[in-house]
Amino acid sequence: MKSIAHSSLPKAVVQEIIGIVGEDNFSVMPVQLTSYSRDIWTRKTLEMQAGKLSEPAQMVVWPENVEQVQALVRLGSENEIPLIPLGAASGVCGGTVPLTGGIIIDLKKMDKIRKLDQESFLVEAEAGIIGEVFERELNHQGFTLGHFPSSIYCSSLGGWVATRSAGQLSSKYGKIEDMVVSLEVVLPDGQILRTRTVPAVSTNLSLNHIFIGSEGTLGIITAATLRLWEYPRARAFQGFVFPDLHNGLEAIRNMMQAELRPAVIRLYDPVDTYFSSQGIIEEKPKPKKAGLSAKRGLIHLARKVLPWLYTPSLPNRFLQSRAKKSKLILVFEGEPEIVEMEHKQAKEICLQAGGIDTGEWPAKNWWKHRYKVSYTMSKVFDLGFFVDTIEVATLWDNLENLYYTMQKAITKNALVMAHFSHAYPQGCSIYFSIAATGRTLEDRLKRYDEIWADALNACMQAGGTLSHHHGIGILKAKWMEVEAGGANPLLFALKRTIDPKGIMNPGKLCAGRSVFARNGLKSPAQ
Amino acid sequence: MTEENKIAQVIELLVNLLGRERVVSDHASMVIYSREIFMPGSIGLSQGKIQNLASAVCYPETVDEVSKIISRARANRIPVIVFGAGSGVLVGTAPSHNGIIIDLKRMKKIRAINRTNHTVEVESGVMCEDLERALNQEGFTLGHFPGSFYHSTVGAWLSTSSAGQLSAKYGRIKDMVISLEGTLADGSIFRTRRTPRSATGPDIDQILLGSDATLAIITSAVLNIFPLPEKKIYRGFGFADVKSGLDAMRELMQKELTPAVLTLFDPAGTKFNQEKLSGPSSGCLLVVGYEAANSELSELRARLGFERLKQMGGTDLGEEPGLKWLEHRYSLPFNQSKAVSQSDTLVDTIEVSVIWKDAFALYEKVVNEISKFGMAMAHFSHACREGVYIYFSFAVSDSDPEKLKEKQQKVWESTMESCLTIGASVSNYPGISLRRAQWLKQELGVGHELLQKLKKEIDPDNILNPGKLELSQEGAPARPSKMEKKE
Repeated sequence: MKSIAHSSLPKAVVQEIIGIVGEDNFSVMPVQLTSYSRDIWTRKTLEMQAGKLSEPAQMVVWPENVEQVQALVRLGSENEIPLIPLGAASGVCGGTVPLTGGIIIDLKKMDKIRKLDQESFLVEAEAGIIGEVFERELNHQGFTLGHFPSSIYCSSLGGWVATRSAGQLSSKYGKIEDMVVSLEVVLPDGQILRTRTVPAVSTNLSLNHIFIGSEGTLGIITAATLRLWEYPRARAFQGFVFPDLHNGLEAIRNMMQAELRPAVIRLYDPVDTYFSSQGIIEEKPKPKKAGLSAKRGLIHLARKVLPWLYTPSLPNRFLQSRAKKSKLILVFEGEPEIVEMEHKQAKEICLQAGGIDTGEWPAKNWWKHRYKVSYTMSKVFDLGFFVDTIEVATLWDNLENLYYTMQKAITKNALVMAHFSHAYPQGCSIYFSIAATGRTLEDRLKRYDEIWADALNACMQAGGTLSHHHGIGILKAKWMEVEAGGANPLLFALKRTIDPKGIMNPGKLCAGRSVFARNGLKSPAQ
Repeated sequence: MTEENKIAQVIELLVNLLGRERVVSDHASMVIYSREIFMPGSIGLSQGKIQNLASAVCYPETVDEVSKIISRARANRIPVIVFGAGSGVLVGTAPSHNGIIIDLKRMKKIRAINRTNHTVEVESGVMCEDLERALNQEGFTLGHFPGSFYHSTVGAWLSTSSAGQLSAKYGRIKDMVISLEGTLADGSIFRTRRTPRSATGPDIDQILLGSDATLAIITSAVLNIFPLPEKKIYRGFGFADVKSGLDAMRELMQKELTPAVLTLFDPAGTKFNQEKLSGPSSGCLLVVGYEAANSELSELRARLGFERLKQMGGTDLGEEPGLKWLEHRYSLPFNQSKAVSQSDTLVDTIEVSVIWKDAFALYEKVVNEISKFGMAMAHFSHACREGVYIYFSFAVSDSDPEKLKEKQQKVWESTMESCLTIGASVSNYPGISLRRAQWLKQELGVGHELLQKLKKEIDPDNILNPGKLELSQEGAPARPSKMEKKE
């Protein structure tokens, strides 16, 4: 019998929860709750290093089916306890971080593929299923979802839908909202909403879109039905290098507007290009140096860079003036003859934009290592500096303006580089990577906040969008009013309608309005 | 204050705001604005029966004017209907109370065609045909060709989430929206961000699309445009029956051989259109069309697609059926209205959407049910990877007009029942509105309650398009006495 004596939740509530999910599916252990008080948001890592993590949740539970989730939500609503739905907690904006105590509802035990309709190319799966497991199972049946976020090993279907995620192959396969056909959601009043599994219709659509991107603030997504693609029968890789960024961007725009749909289309800005090739544009695989892994290579590089980060404007200026070339990576997949033609046409477009053909290897190399980068980050933090990513988007005629405006705003506080991916005929997303440090832990936190404030203020001013696919969470909530352009009242109306008590993930998505904030909920001590 | 006084006051306010020339309240105009293409309305009108009359129609030219009108209407609790060209077939724009009609046709600017972004910024009152012509002159197309091409507006498409005949390639209007401008129910103006995509909470644009002006009024939009196709490759194929035709459609959509047009006529439909489309004398006609600015890629897809259709049992009927379909595709809705003049026959259409697994079963069931009351034919279009739309056309006859109406109602009821049972959707384009509202409630279930509450939260005075989508309880058509009771 687990000890619940020290729990800050009322005893009766705890007993009721045990009644719903069973002895094995809840925990109030301090160490466990602490581990759940952070996601992959860089600020949380810094807080941890500084010993300043925020108050944990009061309990974590692992329901096994939608009826248990329903009962938990009813309990939370009756007792006005905050509820935080959680998949794999790999978000980077603090979306699953408890701010006012409450109960974390971890959906990982709801991980079944409920139904695969091979004729209609549809799959229904539960929200807690982890991305890579899901994709692998679909592959066995000859399908692909086409959704490959770099967090695929540690993110869940529910998390994807709640945050509006996008994968690395989105230029061909679309984003999560293009894949969702119907949803199963437990509403804050405990009712279950199941939207219809039918091809796109006018009203079904708006119901889905109320919950896609709701980041846990409007209900708990427990399952989704998604449309599938046939597993690709062919794949082609291509690298190019352009004399400058502008030509590279023209090439991408022309490809998308020529109706090509490469699965992967990534243009690295000159600084990123310079770093990844250290000034030399590789055209063939390098022989493997004895004992030097990709990870160690990165750390080796990091040690060289660290001293410069105390005054980032110096290395930034050096790199920005010296680095000129821009690297492009393309991957095509699908029907063999169509892949071949798209590949051929892409080459023509790139050559016309002044690009130099660098063959298959740069793209193949990227493909091989595409998930590894994120996992090497922890070593970087150990070395005493921090990294983060800022991803925005805009239309083509504003893209370079947005890029240079934001680069300028970030440059004094952090080393900054970027790549352009998730391309559309209308525009593109920009993915900034930043690295910075501070002399003390407090200093680092301060600098971190400054970098983000400068970056997002610049973004808003330059007409970009706050986030292309990482979401809002806590990190960007302050800027939602500006982003919404006067449509925020609709968002508040949704929240007031669906979650009038404000129990669902308080403090996320929107700042400064009680309905999204704490809204007078009972504090953990009561 | 009496109802008449209140209306007079509002008319005065509108005149002060817009000028006398842009406010209309004479009886003849009110009669004209009380109906649209929906058949019972037309028949009723021809018999001198009018259900509801608005009190005034006004013609704003900017979003600021719309904003002020809504604020005034709200202050006086006068309902507002938004009107484009009145081409809806589901009573979307019929006045429910003695309200104001905002006719957006004076907001008719094409504000900008952006060649770098492949976007167009266009006001809601612009007619489809005019927009398309302007885009063509710049070498672009919107790719949106609803059957009402010659008589519908941009605003109408946005509020009903319409789809055009080439939606398999270009997408539906919802796929084309970058950003919206408009006013909320309190008159405040909004403009969503101009970005190809964001992860900034629920997508407000998508929530407003298809809401039939019950949550907000959309005054302009930034939409995707496409370069004009160089070449159109259209062809006809014959299939022995509906089942094999559906399998062939599914194959093309699921194997990335996506055409721009893919329409299958059932045997009755094939026979009915045989002369016009040069289709086969028996079995089903499948019209397939490929067109794209990237003609090399398009030709490849066409070659692969046609090969696949033959492999799946299709008989190659050559170009002619495809080209004839292109020629005649807009005449269908106009031809249907011919039947109105024959007072003992009523022609109507019902569209439903269904996933592939259930498509044939639904088709068979519905056609069998309709045959009990009259004649039915169907065609299948707007295919996607997971399903297809079925477009049923039916004709019922009776010398007694009451019995005629009853038969029509029975056909609708049995079709909707079949859809709900099988799990198909009654609520695809072009919008919902009063006609389907009762079934919409059953289909949406818990979702319906949610949308009703949302409507009440956003528009507590029920000003915007009351009664549509059956979203407001008090929104049903009402005579003046009912409104007085509310005071």
